[in-house]
Amino acid sequence: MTQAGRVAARAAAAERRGLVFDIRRDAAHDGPGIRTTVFLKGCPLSCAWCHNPEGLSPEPELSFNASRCLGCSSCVTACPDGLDPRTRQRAAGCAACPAPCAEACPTDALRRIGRGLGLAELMAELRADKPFYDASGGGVTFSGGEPLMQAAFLEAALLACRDEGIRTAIETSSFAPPEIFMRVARGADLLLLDLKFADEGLHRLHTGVSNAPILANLRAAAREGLAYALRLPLIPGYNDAEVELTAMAELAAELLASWRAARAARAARAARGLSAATPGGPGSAVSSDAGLGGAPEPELHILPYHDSGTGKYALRGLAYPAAGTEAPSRGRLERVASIFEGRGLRVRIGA
Amino acid sequence: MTERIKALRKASVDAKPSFSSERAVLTTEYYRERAGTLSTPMLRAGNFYHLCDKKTIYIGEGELIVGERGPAPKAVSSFPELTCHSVEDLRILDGRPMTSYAVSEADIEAYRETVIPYWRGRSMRDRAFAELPEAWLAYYEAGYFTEFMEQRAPGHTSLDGTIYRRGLRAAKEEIEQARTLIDWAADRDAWDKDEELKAMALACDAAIRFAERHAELAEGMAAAEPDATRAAELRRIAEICRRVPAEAPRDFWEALQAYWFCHLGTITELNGWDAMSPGRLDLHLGPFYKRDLREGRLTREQAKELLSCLWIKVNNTPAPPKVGVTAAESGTYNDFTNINLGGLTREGEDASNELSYIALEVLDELRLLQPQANLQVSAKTPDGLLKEACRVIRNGAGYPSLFNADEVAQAMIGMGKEPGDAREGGTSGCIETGCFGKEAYILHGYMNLPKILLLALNDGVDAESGRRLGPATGDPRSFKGLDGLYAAFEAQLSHVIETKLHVSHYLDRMYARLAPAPFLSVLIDGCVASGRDYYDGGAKYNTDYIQFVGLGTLSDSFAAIEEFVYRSGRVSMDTLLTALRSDWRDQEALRLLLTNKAPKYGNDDDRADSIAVRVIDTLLKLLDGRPSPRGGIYHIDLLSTTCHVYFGLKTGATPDGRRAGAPESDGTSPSQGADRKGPTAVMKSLGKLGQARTGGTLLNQRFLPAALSGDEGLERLAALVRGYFSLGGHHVQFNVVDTETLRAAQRKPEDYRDLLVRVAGYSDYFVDLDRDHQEEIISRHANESA
Repeated sequence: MTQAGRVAARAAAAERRGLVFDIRRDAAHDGPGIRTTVFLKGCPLSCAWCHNPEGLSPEPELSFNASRCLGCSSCVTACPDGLDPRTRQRAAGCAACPAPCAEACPTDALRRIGRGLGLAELMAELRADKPFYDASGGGVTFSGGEPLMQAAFLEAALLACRDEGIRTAIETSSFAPPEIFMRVARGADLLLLDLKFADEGLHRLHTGVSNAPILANLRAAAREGLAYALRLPLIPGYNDAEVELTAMAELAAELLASWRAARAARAARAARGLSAATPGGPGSAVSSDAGLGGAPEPELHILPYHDSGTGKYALRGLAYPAAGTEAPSRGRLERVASIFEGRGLRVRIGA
Repeated sequence: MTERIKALRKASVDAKPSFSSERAVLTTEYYRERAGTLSTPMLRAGNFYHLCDKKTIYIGEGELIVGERGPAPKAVSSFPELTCHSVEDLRILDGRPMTSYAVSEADIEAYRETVIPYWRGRSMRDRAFAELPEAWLAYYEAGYFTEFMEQRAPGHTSLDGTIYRRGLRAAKEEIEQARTLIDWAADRDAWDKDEELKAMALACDAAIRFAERHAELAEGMAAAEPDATRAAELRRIAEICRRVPAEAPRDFWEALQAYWFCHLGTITELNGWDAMSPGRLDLHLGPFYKRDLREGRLTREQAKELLSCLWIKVNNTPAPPKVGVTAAESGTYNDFTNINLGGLTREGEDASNELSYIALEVLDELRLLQPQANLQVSAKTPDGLLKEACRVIRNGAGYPSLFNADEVAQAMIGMGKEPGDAREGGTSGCIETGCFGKEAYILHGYMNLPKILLLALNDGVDAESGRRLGPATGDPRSFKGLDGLYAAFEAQLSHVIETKLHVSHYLDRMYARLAPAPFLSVLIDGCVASGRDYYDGGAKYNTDYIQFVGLGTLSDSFAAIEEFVYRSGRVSMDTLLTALRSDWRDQEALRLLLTNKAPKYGNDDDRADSIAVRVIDTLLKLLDGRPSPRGGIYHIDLLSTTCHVYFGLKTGATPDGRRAGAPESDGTSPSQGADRKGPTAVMKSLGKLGQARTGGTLLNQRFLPAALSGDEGLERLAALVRGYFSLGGHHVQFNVVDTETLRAAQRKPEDYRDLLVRVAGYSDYFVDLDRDHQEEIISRHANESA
């Protein structure tokens, strides 16, 4: 991006608002060091095992936890339309309502999921832990939902973080148009890229979308030598068949080879004394690593299935599509790891 | 761990704390014969000599460092000249279920026949309580504050490096020199100074005599010892005890023994709060270690064994039991010796050395109740040392605690101390900042901030007793906004402080006149030169602290009122007052609303954090910089030790949603469970307080073990500490234990005897804590991986 382009982008960014359903400080498993993770609301996929179902809808919602309800009816009293939010008697206007019902609830049994945030408000929250990012090599991770659903806001937030010296990561399904994906990806210091299925049919079946754009985006990121880690959510009964794992391992190895070639080329350019101009451009934290050969090799993180999301479906009155799935055993995880390690990948179990 | 250390450790851990009347009887004997014939300092020094000359000398099997306060390990002395136990007190100590002390019938007999008849009515506590003003007693009994000096002598004493450079014979020469400088022509205090200095010289002789008696015993034991190796050790012990503390130590072993005799001397002379501490142990002993190693006299393993022996000695000295009403309460065996590691040199460079690592290993392997140890972390502290400390912390015993050496030095420089002295200081007791070896920094007791807010919400009338204790500050329903309420709070606070100071000064003068400490005065810089006792302003620096408790509960209470009564108006003051007085009867929804929806200190939320800052500003305004009669200057401390539980029991429901009787927040930690945004937000909140303006703050954080697993877990913990200290944090301590373990320990205490947990500025055995304290620790928010 040119200097003028960045100025224009910043001006536009000031106007932008995002829909966020959580901001979690000192989050583990979302990249290196001490991090703050921003969960952006809305996702085009519908993975059967999703443990953040509150991130699916791109609209604000109410959630109700009956076990915490005192029966005090403060919510009914607070509702401008006199509705009872506990009985899901909701009007069309609920999504846009600032939800005084949830604000009045003394126990947080009733909660509003999703709040609109301007960039300045978001940055105020993100810079709060700057001393800890600095002490730990951490930063901010944008997750979801699918953060690329709010690409313009995300891009503005990444730029603002870079302006303030905050390192960033995005955690994404990579399901987005290629030009949008790459533009956003170049603005982040680290990409945490989901790898759910190599097989198109299985991907469509269990996530509801094609993986063709995803694979294209993964290849583009690797080909450009962007810093990334692949994240495999290991869901027994869905993507843990030997043939599928082997296919994913081959894909991961292909991406790694492509990434190494890109880095080697960049190092060679640097060695020839040429400018290490990369598509990220000057000021890119990625490019500052370029050509030094010190960039860490992309890893593969195996994220074992856990059922902590089950309760969230109940709160939303939904059935859990992956009900009955069991967490993989330690032995199984190690066996899966060995498939990837056998193809030269560095594997971590857990994030 | 060597076989020797295993055996000594086991003996120490297995020994049951017991009460010994030996010191009380010897003291009674001496006072009965000599009181009235000598000046008070000479009477005190004479009594100290009598104790050193007559008390039972103990050298245990396999010991390398020798000497006990009582006749045997964990036999605890009493101090009837300060506080005289009744027969009933002794029976309670013997029989209470927790932190009991075995009391023999012979000891009870000695008390009934000899000690009580002499001291009842003569002990300082008896004399003080006969004179204390009604207003003070009313506040005291209602739980607005405690008073340290009603039970124990002023303490928090830590040493600098002087004892390793100057033996007591050389100290005596300095004392004699000081006597020659007394201006008998013009100084109205000339006689007092001369008597004090003579007493200091006699106290040196007493400590030397004490060491010599150990030499005599060791020589006798060596002669009778069939094992040649042990006989040689005993002869070496005898040689060391003839050398130190009379002369300066020549090697590492002698240096440790010299310290231990000085430690024993001070805790035999009096029962000062927080016993005694070597202060910056690695800084002072590092040169001995290095030289011995270089000259082939010592190996790393031998140094570690000797250091372990000192550790075990400290563990052998449980805190002296209290008297009166508190005898029935469980307390702690911990006497708060807090060894400082790492930190800065006088010149401001990193002070850590190999001994810092060895000490951490000893701490980790021995896992004893005492001594406490902490790492003073400066920006110059090597990452490797911090990480090693984090590794020990992760093992879950609650230590070492971590301090910000740069902030500690900055706070002391702000209080007017010379930079070199400040950097060579550290923190003692729990978290109290002081200039080791050069300062008398005396704590006067805890003050219950949330209860003072309730006083303001009740127009100065104590709600529990119905008595008017404070000034009439008006009906809260008439207050205009938070500022009106705050002004009433400040008026009540000021009244409580003034009432407390009156008695603090009274007791302070009593100690100076009736219980000077000439031996301690020899050890602390300034007392010899000024000819004044440690308790009479003799030290180079003199500081007085009051410790304020419940900052989190208080700030959350103000924030809840501001948010719901004044800002949104959703709750009327009348409704709130009624709910508080009835302890939320039929008002559970209101209680939960205030608990869950009001801003809370500890979430990096300025709506609550700014109130905490305002409270500290007020405390500073009311107290900081005020002179004390001893020549000291008042500063504030923000720690609670275990007092937040006691104060909680004495305090009605508070506007933050806390129920009557529930614990208050501890130290400067957020209210239990109120911190919902993780440790970084907590640390950000505390980073706003301007902690270097205080004599210390305290932050407890609890982690589930899984959150700190692996090398990354250690690095995360270290980064949290570095981040917090970059924000000006003073102290942080971690409990790394899961709730299931704590619950299991409650169910089957016999299986969890050695489960150490961080309480508040110190670690204690979980099963020795009473139920209230156990629940309080479980209720602290446990950080897990998000």
